[in-house]
Amino acid sequence: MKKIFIYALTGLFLVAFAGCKKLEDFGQTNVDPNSTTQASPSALLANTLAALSGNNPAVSTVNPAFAYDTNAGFFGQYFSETQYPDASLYTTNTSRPFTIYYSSVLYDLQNIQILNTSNNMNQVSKIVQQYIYWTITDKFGDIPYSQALKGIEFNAPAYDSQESVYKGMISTLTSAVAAFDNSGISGDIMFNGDVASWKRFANSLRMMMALQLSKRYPGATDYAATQFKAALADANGYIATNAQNAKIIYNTNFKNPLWNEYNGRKDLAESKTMTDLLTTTLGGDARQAAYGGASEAAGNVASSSIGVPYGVARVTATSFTDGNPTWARVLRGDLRLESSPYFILSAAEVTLARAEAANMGWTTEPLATVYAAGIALSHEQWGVAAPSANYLTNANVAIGAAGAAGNLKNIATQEYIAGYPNGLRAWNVYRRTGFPTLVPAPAATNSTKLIPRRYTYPSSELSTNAANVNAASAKLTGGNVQDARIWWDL
Amino acid sequence: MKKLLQSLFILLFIASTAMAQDRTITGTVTSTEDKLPIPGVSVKIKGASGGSVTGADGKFSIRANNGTTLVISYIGYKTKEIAVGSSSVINAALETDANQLTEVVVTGAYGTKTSERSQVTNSQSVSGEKLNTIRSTNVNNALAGKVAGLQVRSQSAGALGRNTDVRLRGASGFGTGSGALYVVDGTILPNADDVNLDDIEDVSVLQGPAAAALLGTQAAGGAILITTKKGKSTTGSGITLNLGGLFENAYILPNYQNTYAGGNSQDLTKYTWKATDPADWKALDGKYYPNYSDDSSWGPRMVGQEYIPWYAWYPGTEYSNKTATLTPKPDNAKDFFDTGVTFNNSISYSGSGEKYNLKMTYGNQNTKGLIPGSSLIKNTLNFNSSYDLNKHFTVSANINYVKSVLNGNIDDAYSNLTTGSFSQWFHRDLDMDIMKQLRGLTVPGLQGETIYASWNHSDPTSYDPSNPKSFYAGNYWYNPYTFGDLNTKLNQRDRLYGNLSFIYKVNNDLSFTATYRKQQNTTFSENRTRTELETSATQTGLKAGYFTENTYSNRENYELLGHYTKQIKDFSLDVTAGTDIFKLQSNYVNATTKNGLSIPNLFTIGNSVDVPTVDNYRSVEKYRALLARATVGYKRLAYIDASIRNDWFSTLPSENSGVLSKSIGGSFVFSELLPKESFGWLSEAKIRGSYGEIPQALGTSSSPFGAYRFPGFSYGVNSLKFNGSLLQNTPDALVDPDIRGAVAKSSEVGLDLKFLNRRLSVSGTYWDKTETDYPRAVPVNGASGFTTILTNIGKITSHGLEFQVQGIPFNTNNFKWNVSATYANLISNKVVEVSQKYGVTRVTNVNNVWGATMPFMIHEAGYEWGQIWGNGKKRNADGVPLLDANGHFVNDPNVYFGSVLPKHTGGLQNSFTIFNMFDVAANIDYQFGGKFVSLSNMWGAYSGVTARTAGVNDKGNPIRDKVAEGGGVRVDGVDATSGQPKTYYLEAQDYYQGLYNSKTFDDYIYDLTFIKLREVSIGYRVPVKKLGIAKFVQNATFSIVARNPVLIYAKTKDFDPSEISATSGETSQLPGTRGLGFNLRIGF
Repeated sequence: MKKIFIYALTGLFLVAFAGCKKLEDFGQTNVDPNSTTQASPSALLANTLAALSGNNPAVSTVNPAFAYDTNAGFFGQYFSETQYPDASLYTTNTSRPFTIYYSSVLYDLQNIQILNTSNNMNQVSKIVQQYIYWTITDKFGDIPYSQALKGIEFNAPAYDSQESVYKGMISTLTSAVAAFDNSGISGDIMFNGDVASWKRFANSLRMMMALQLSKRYPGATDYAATQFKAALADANGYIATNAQNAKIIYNTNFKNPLWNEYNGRKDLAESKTMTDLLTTTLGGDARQAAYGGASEAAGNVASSSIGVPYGVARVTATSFTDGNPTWARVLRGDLRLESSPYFILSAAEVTLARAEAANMGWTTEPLATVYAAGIALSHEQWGVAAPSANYLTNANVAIGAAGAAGNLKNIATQEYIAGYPNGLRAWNVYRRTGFPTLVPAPAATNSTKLIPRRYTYPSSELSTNAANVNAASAKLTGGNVQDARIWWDL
Repeated sequence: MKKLLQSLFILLFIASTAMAQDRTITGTVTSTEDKLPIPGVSVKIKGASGGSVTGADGKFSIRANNGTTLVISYIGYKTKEIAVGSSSVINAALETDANQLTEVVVTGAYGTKTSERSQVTNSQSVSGEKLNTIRSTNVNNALAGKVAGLQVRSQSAGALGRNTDVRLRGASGFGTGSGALYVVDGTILPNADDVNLDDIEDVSVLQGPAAAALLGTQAAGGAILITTKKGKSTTGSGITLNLGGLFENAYILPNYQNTYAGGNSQDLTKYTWKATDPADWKALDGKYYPNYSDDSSWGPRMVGQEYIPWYAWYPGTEYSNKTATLTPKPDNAKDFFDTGVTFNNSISYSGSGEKYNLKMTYGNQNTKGLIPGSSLIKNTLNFNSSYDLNKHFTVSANINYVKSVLNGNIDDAYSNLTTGSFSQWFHRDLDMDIMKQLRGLTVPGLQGETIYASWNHSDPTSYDPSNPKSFYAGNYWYNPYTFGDLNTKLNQRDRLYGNLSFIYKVNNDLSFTATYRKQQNTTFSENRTRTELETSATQTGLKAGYFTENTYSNRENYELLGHYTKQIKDFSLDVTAGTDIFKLQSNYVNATTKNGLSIPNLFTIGNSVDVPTVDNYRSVEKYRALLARATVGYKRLAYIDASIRNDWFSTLPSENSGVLSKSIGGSFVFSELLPKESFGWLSEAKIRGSYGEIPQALGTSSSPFGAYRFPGFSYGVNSLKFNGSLLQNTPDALVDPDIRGAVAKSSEVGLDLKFLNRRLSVSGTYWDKTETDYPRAVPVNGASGFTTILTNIGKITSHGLEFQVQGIPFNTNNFKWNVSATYANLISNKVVEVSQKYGVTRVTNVNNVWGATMPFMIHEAGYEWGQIWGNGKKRNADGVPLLDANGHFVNDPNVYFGSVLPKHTGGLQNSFTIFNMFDVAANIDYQFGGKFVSLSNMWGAYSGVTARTAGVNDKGNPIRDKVAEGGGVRVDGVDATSGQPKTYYLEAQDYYQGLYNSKTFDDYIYDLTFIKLREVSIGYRVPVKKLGIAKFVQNATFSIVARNPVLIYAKTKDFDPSEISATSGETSQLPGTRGLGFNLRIGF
């Protein structure tokens, strides 16, 4: 009986599967119709470059902060928070991501090199990678570099010392400049495939990076000065005119980050620190007309020099903005249209860096000329009238011969102003030179009340790379705290 | 093919006729009560051993001689003896025995039915009647407390149309839990939303692989099997009308403070009219106003002083330019909510004849929600019939169609316009009646814009005649009524499900069933945000917009099953075997406008200012399964039950796409062996044990099965081009080429006892479950270039106890009391391992209420499933918090606050029948343990809205008073540097905002513990005979029902812990409600 039943059932199954070749053969069922296995290097490059400033929701959910980093801008005091003071009160923040930049844009650039379709695409991707690494290491200190972006082979990459990160970046930039050939570049929304521009950008980055090491390597024959000079002397040149600026020109699909900043919100203001510096200390800097807008409406042409008090409690800030409706928004409305450019690295910044190098005796460039050119370039960049003679002779602007007392303060102040609104630049200038003199937030909530010197490693690192992040933290004075100084910040 | 079938049948005929002997008596056993056939009835010949059992259709067949007597017995019914005469057909109708607990037949996978005796697992069954005490509209809520080991996570009645969730025996997986599988008459539904409870005959809950292995992969987390009512013959016309109404009101809201008004300043400000201000405002010159633009309640003490309310500044109302008195409005949040009204009506026909049975129901649920403007209308049609074509062939159909239309902005996320405002950012002095009255109030802005009035407008100092909007528009908030009027959401759903079956009955023992099943769901949704909302705000960031989505999903099964039962001497055999072929197709298309609408209030995608976001997705997945189950019984004494199933999945790597599920169990009714004399009190005693194992496919939950997760690593493309350049991302997730599905294994042992002639039954179960090898994206350090690798990881083990008690303490003519109770103890539900291979001990980011800032839910190895970790107070070794130099707590980013799983769950159901006229039922359910995070209370404290921000300190002074004047919150702790004990007083605002600034959130973690009287029903059986209407009306019952009448106990007073909206907590919970209603049921 039992046997018969088994036969019967077996027969049943045979019938049921008469049509199937094999039970496990599902043909094309599991082929995903929603995505492709093919990647396009140009699409990867465009994706990365579109993200180079920050706060651009159209690019990715990562919300990167490279050339536009408001937190750094709070520490550097470009900006004030108008209603919910948090970062500007130095509240401890252990959730600032940075490895997410590796898995997103840095690996997209790596992937271009892996796909290896064009030598020049590879060089471009290396240059942009160094730029991104630079922004990360200046915020955090030691970061994964030599073992980074190697896939699962190093799923918990070691942290390299900032010294080796810097040396690695500078050497990669140097070799990239030399390695360009005639191959094509596509997806280049910054320089439209112009090799000369990329070489200038790479050399300029190399100069800026070298200068950032001035506290660590002050001497004219030290590593930093040597690299600076070499980049300066490179036949391919550096960014010297505003036409050569590294910038992203946004559009309606991908909007300028400052347009996004005021798209329905108004949390961000130009700080009183900035407006005081420009209007009072420097006796009326023309750039204030561009740097502060009276309305959050894009396209509005009214300027404002009513900076919002920096680092104050919520009530103080909101009372101030209630009482001063035309408080200074970051940039005048017509300079933050959807399609306004955002500067990644400008001729003014590079030129003022050259002035600082000349002042230190790293180079023999004519200090006064270079310095004046830097200031003029910055004015030109923002479309304001050239600096007046009066302005240039202001005690807080004028400089003496190279190395003269007070030179560094005034040069650094000009670098600081020229970097606006790239918050990391402000913070870097301040940490490197100590200028302009910044007073910590009066309502600071951190226990030391000091301006942070670094970003703390995010707690997420403890989940995925605990041994390495702990080793890196152990090298810092006081551990993984925002008051600890990174390697170049003696 | 045809030949093959023929020979198959011939084989089977031979098989069955070979068993025939002597004279055969056949017949059907039915119940006198409902005339339905009773399966599993014992039919014996008096004095002889052996016997027969009725099949699923109540039919039996037995060999007997003339003059013998058939003893027909079944638990819960009075035993009947019938002498065998000349007729070879003996039908019997059994009368119920009200003194006994009825025997429950549990429906298992693929329509298998098991008697209580042969149950090898603790599969619990709830009758439709017990389930639907108050005519609930949600099957999950209706199950609360009625099944041991089942935890229901309900949702506020205000959250119309929201899915509820159940956990069976704790939780599994590394997500928020995989939930149960819902199977209605064999057809799988993705959730329990669309089952009309009036149609339910009973619900069986199969917990874990030991009980559900035959269902395979999708039932790894357990299954809830719903059997709907079949047509049956009745004395009347067969038509039943069921009318119900339920009225619900907001009941539980956070405890707000009612001392201080809105704004950021304790002082009112004097208004001085200036020439640029509107002329009408002159009337207000010299009067005082509070700060309006700040949306917190750190304002002045409300003592009935004269002040300028928010609405006085708007022209054109009876309140324009007039002051008012500043007084508390304690119920302003509650007053916002309407009375929710649900009408739940259905009409059904039930009938049967010799060859057919038929049941049709039309149900209509019409709910007006608590949130003004919200409604849910649901129409259900059910057709359930079978027809015997001849002796061998039966066709049956079970077709359900549900149309549901949900309107309204049902939102309880952070910053939503109802509770998100009331509990987090609000002015405690607002008068909700005036708010309602002024919902349509507008003022003209620039360029012909319309600005709707808001309580959260700017302060008069900022009035600028060239830009009136900067004053009149809402700063962060709209009038909540206005928002509801101008922001509308529609979600409509058409679901069709059911089956068509063709049954070939070879003989009484053997039958074959071919079934086609389908569950098709199409939805259409749209959200409209009117242009006026964009123009009526200064910084809500809200743009006018339109979103629309169409989704389609279709599940189809083809089943071919053989069913064989046979009684061979002392052995009974019940075998089901067959195949199940499945396909799931789903897709969606949606589009959203971006950055506003070009033409105001034209709601089309093409009218988007920027390039609209358009998205579509489609997937197909399939499985094929072979399955078999057998139960062998010996003398009603011992049973063995085994099942085996192999599935092949399209979503698994093709060389390794098959998985084998299996289970085996036994039950032993040892009371059969005990001497009746000394164990008379013990009516029945049984031990049982079982083991089961279910491997899964690649889904993150049990179903669907993870289409395209393997091989993965593919590129999408950004729908936007950057000046003509395409944008692509490299995927961040790697996929292990050896990926496979998780495996769940469970075993259980239990003891079922029945006492005192079956008036009392007690059942206890110990279970144990292990799940391993979840296909989970393991985080890898992002600096590698990837953030995750999808691989098999982890192990979670759990075990627990379940008890059920049922009894009839009283049973007299005039009073009957039925009681049942359930209790489950989740002894442990531990994450044993995450991934040793990848050095990962923590699955992060599982669920959170406020990113990583507020404590969030993760799974960490070594702890109970679903832990709340995160920012809390740093404490010394004695647990005393550390304080910084200002008296603020010091942050510890990694504080463990406990698991989200309650330890103890259960319920108590009492029902009484009084004078055969009144039926009273009261259902309580409870849970103890488990944690949740409250975002409302964090912001509510930050913004001075909740009661805790307004009390008095230990000196008896208001905590909002200046510390120098004896006020402030007392803070005790030890100094962070010296370790010495310290006491500080901090002004309330400083203290509560300090908790946020220092990220010390211990105060906002709450316990999920509650005891709740969830359902009460008092029914009156209308005496139709006495009233002389028996000719038209067979029976009529009128009931008063209450839903959630009393939250008897809860550790937190601010929320109903049974309705926490997210797994880890709440972001701004809609209120708990209590409802009162009626039902009228008339049988014609």
